[in-house]
Amino acid sequence: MELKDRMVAHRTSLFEDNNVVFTVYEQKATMAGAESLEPGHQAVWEECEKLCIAKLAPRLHSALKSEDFLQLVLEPGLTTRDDKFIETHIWGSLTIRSVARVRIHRKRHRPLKAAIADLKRLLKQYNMDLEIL
Amino acid sequence: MEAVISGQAGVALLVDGDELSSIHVQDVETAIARRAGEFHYLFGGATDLIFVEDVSTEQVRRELIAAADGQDITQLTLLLLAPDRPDEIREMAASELSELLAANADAASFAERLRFSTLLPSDADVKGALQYCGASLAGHFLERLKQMQ
Repeated sequence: MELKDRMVAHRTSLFEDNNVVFTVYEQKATMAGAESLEPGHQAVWEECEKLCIAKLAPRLHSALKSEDFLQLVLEPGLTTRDDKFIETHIWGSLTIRSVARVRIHRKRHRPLKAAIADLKRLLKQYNMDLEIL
Repeated sequence: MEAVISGQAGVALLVDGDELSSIHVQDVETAIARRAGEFHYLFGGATDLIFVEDVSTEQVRRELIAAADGQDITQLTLLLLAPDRPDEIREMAASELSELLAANADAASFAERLRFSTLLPSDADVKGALQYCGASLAGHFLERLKQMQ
């Protein structure tokens, strides 16, 4: 799902990695203790680029294109513990009105055309697009 | 070997002694090493977990494909039966359902067991749905469902 910035940006914060893996496994700390982290590990949405640069600076270079950024901020590992990403936290509840677009990545060779057509129809009520990848 | 299989998640977790690995329906030939703590990440909120014992990897692959296709068959059946869905959606569901039933007999039987274990939705429009199916496999499938209710 792609969310509408104006519905969530003001209540979104970011953490430099999987919060649990970072805090419990790497820092050997408790989640409560993580509240007193040194600066540089977390950011509010408006400063997300600063967190990305703090984490990824050694891997950034002038030949990178904007489409390459996704692979830098979200790297699937062999196990979920090895996944590397920038984690976002959204405070409060989400409704369908916070969603801008729905993308379905159906990996199987056979998409369910009827189900997809039905979903498109339902999303259209909220002026939402459905994209099949 | 033991395994946990979910058609909804499209994942099977293989348990061979102390070693855990997962296979995924989009690429059943590739096994990925796992830890026990990853169980919830793999299956999420799936409600169709099947626990099997004394199975080979090949059997698990087959069961996983049948379970995933069976979930697709169930989804198409519910769409076909839904009276509030437009004609074109129900026609499309009937056609796809027939194709899927013909392509995977194991999945058809899996979906039958799934549907026979619960009542159809209270507003299920079997009579209307049959009109979209004609004499197709989807029609026979619905007739059986109706008889078994």
